[in-house]
Amino acid sequence: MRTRLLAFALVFALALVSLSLGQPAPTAFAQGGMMRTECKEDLTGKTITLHTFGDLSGPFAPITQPLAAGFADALKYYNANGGICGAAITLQQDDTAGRQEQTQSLYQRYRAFDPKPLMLLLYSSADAELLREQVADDEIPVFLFAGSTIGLYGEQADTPGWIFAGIPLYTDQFGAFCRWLGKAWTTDLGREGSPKVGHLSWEGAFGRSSETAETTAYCAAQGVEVVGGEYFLPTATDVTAQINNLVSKGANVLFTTSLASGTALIAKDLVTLGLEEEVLLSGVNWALDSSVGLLGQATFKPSGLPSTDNIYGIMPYIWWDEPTDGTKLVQEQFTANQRPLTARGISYLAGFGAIDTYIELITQTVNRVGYDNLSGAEVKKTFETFKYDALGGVFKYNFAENVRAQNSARIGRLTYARGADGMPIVVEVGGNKLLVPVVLPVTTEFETVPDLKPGGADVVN
Amino acid sequence: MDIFGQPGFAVLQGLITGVLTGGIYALIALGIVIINKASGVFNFAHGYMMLLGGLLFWTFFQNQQLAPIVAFALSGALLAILSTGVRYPATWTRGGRVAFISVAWAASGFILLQTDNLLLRAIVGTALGTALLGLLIERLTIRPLISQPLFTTVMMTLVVGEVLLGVTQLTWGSVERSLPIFATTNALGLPQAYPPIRIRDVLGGTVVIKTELLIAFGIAVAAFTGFVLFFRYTRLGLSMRATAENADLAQAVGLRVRAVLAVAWAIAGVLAALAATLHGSSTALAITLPGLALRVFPAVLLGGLESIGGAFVGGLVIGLAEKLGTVYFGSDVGEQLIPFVVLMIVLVVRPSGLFGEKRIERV
Repeated sequence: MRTRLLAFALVFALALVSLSLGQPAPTAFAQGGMMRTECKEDLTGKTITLHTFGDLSGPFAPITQPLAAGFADALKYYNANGGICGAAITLQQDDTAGRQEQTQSLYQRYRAFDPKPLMLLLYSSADAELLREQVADDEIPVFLFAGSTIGLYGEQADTPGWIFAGIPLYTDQFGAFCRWLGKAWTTDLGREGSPKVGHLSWEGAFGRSSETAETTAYCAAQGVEVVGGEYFLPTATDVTAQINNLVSKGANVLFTTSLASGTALIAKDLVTLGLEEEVLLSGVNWALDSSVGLLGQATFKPSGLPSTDNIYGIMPYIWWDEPTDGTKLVQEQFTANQRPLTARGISYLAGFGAIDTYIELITQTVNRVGYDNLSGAEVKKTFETFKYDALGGVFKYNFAENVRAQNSARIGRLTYARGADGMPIVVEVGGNKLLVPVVLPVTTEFETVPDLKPGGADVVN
Repeated sequence: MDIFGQPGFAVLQGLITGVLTGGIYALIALGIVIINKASGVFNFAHGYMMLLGGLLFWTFFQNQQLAPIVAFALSGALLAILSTGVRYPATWTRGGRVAFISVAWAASGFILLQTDNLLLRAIVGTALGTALLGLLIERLTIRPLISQPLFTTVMMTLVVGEVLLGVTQLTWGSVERSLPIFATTNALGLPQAYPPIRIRDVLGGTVVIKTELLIAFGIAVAAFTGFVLFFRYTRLGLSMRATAENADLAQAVGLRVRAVLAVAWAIAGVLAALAATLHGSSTALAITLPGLALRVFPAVLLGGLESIGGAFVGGLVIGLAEKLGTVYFGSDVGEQLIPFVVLMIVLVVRPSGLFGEKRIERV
């Protein structure tokens, strides 16, 4: 009897193995060269809309217009390569002009759509903070390309909501920078004494997001003193007074949470004051954008390179010039669509990556619940366990039930492309000569950024 | 050496930078005051005129050939409007006027076509373009509202601002642009800003004067001197003052009130472009530029809405207040609070501003 049972179990196990071997490959297929989850449903003939609004004509426009270009080119490419399981992707996009009342007004319109948006794509910390409670009430998940703690986790940072960020929180970015700076100050950077950081950023929710009690304490634990913060408006003509204030407090590193012209102005005024060697300029991921590198070419250091050469910062993605399938694809589409050099920055990459991410999110959700049951709530459930390398690893997402932001990064350095002779490469664009900004990884491995939201795992008491 | 607890050189640096930055503020204020002086309208579109003017300058400053038809159409359109609508000086004969306009048209057209001197081309092209812009705004949006409540006209300037923003977005997009006009060419063949003037060992440190701000300040002073003389000694300037004082009375004595208003808008357009270009040369031309005009409103109110000299002093005071406030109290107080506190104090003490005209209404 026992022998019969064993023989039966063996036959049954063999049958199961042979059945499973007979199944098609389980999860992955190539879409235009990028691997993604295979669809269980064919959605050919259907249309799925991605909804997005943001500041296309206000202070954030320099980064959001290339972002919109990235959306457009990615949609064109992915729709030509199968869309979402055969469904065509369309884009509903509007401009808030950077005005909160316009954000609110647009949201009122979007929430009234029937069916409701499956997901909103936003790219402003202030918009995220404004809409945090409302999107939760309406069960519309948000994919945000900014890093606001309040937007993601609430005022007390203890309630992960419906907003998921595609880059690390700005607090965590600053923490990661301090962690590296503490180690690299005397070794890699060859500096003397100890690093003392002053925040010099744009006025507003975005600019002030990195300077918190938690980041200051964490940096101190890394051997980096934060001496204080100064802020300026995006319309400022000069920041020499702010720099002097911070330097007089001992700052030998400036950390900025600002966009193109903001970071370029700081770099220029450091050269103006003759402090370009004495003070290291650094910032959040946006400080390494090509827009900074292009604007910085009006002022040169005594070394003969632009004022924005050698800005250090956080690099939570693979850069254009790193040879991967993802960057190759983006570069091909960028060239095919004749985008200008000014758009070859973080935003275009992010726009392309956002569409890729959306396709994967919806595919996984459809596979789990079926197309007929697609809803914002179900997309949020997918988000909560979403592990995905968008564009084949250009962006690495690793969300969890309590993790609402992308949380790994390298340290990068903004500099300019050089030829074999070591000289900067000069290109001619529209009859004008330009140097080509590039971002080089300073650290090679992606490391998890510290969790520095209030109550976060790495907060130092 | 400390001055009231702050390093002396930092205070001096704040003082110098404040004055120089104030020069740009003053130019912006002047554009707003000119419109107000001629028509009593507070022009909320001025910041957007600056943005468009700055981008126009950038376009002409690029090393790209302009289509001949565009060059001659631009110069011709403005000169045609001026020749039919303004007719100054009135003593000119018809033949003299036609000859002058023809020569001016040809000269400006050829300047726009050449690429050897991009700065000259940008100056001429921008002056023509923004004067034309001012004339068009006046003719299409302001003139139809003459005799309507002043509030309607002010609201119209807000609408004009939005339209101009849309036009700039559609034409130039939102990418920020550097404008290295005060620059030489470096070893790589790229424009490189003139180095700053450094004064070492002053009050315990090095004080730096930004060359582009210094030049901008000089241009602002020259512009103010010119406008003071213009309003005091020229027929057109006096006509503008008379029109601002009482348009009906001015018309009754034979002044061409509408033409005066048109010229005021043309001048404001040119001043807007000048301020934008000078500001852009020290930072970048960004979509946020209209916000700078909002920052200058305290300077306009401080100096007095109708006062040319007041605009200058107001600009300098706000520039100084910002920078010295930042040195002593940090940027939170210096940039966000102090300009408005200064304005509040002045308005409480002198409601018409430092140099504004005190109006007494008899009942």
